[in-house]
Amino acid sequence: MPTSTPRPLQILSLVTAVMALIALGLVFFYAQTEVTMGEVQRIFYFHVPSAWVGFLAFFVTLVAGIAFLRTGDYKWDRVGFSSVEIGITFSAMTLLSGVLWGRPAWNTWWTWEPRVTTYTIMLLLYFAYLMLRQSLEDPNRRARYAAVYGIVAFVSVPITYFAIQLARSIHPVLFGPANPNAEGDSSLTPEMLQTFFFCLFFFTVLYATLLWHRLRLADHADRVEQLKAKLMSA
Amino acid sequence: MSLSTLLDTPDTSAYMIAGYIIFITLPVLFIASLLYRQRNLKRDEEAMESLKEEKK
Repeated sequence: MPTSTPRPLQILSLVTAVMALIALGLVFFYAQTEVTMGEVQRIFYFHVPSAWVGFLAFFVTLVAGIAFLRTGDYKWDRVGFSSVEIGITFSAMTLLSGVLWGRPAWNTWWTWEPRVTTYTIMLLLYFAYLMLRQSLEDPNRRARYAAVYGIVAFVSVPITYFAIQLARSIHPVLFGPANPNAEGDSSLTPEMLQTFFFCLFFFTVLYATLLWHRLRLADHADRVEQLKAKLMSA
Repeated sequence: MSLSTLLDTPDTSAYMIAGYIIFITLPVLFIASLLYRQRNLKRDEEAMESLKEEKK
């Protein structure tokens, strides 16, 4: 049974580690310090990409849920579950870093403004996904319920994304028409934009690397479960 | 307060450092949890393999 890390994954992990160092180098030594907010603006370079990875991870769970319901292949269940774990990690990062950015920018640690509120609800919905899985013993029921839940919970993602356009918000808008009520908005120099797009690419690669590692763990857990079942029935 | 003080860039580096501690800690914790679970699975697998051998 192959348990050693495959060569392409080893290379991808190494590339991701090098990209992490480059991203940090760009954030701290290449991008200029923003004049209005000061150093805290550098949070933006990892805050937005981690939010992107959260959305991407939950989208992958949606696709995996549909694929599982159509094919009944447990591979898709493992993809959905693994992706939610990564999505929660990155969404928590986004929320916590947003709190730290909000203190100097909005003069408060927490505010129930539309983006922050919907983001928190989205995160809690995906925590509930994990709780749902934990509560179900039967693998078939667990996979089916999780697939349906993963599809329904995804509704929270576009609501979160468009919350600042749909309701009056003080959250800055990065893409789309500028928000006249935004506080802490800033224009970006070419160096800042280059840094931002590199970080966005790096986080996407990081997601792929983590998902691959997490899927290998899920496959391993599956093999151990099968072995356990064989032993019990013998 | 003078106008130049008002126009100065504020020192918000403490928030930035705290932010990057989060950006580094959470993925590291996630990777550590993967390694921990992998180790436990390996242990379980070995235990079951030896049980299987004993049954033979």
